[in-house]
Amino acid sequence: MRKSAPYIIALVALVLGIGGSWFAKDSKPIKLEVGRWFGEQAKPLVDFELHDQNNQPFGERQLKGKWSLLFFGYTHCPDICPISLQAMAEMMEAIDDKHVREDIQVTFISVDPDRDTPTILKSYVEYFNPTFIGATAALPELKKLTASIGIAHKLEKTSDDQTSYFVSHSGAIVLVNPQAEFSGLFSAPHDALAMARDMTKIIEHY
Amino acid sequence: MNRFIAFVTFLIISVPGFAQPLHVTDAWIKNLPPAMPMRAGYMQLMNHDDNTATIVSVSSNAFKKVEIHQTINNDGVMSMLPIKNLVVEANGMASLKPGGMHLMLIKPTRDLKIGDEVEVVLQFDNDSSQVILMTVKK
Repeated sequence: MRKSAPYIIALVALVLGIGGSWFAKDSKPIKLEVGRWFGEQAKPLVDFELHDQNNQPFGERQLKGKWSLLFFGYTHCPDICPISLQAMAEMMEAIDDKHVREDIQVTFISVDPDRDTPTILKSYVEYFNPTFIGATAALPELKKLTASIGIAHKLEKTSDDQTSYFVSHSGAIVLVNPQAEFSGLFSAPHDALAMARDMTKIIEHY
Repeated sequence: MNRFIAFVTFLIISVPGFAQPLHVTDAWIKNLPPAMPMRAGYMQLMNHDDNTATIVSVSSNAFKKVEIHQTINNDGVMSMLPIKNLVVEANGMASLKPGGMHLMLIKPTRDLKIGDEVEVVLQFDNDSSQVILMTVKK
């Protein structure tokens, strides 16, 4: 019995060591080129339910198991939204590793639900990349999500023009980890190649 | 003969639309699916003249309306500001580029695809105008 004690201690130490290093990996800071990485400060998203471009529910469940990049905009936006979606499309093209690419899910969330119907969202997002998702919901439901992650957006409607209006909105891309936690941020302007390197680094790290 | 040359010179400088005060390069329109009502247009404008060039309006028969806008980044929140007059200083330049000043091309009047060339008219404050070609790009 006494003879086996050192082995048991060694085994326990080994298990703790492996387990410890596995957990440590999760919190180890990652140095990104253009993104901000929250590390241990990652926080779970609030409960929310949007619908996607195929009129299917889009919520926390659809975020689990993938690294998500969320961009909040509107399809009547001529400048920032197309260039941000184009940057994410070019980021995907720049990632050589198929497994890394398949681990990323890009979602465009419209903050202009009255004009951005599922049909419009579908033709818009799939133009940039057929795997991109488009989602939206009525403003109160949207605001639950956007307010919880600090994404600003506002309809700039004037009293005499209720149909052709602008929407001011954040230019940031939100990073959500496969546990559906808000875990990083890419601020505008977006550099597709640097984002591709950052996303590869994050996914290969885990 | 001299009177003829003088007459032609008079026509060139007096007929609105003939003057081409700006040297325009890299003029392009971001392509989007046909159902989308808005496009952005970008270009570099160089003014080699000793007088300021002021664009007061822009139009195109390929779009219902064209406006000049500036994207403003206010602490990470993006909004747009209409620009009434686009001033290109004498011997200076103006840059319309993604994330900055751009043309907002509203409601295409026909389907546009990558590679198409679109005529756009720049209208100046001195009643002259300039026709430029913008290429639709990815």
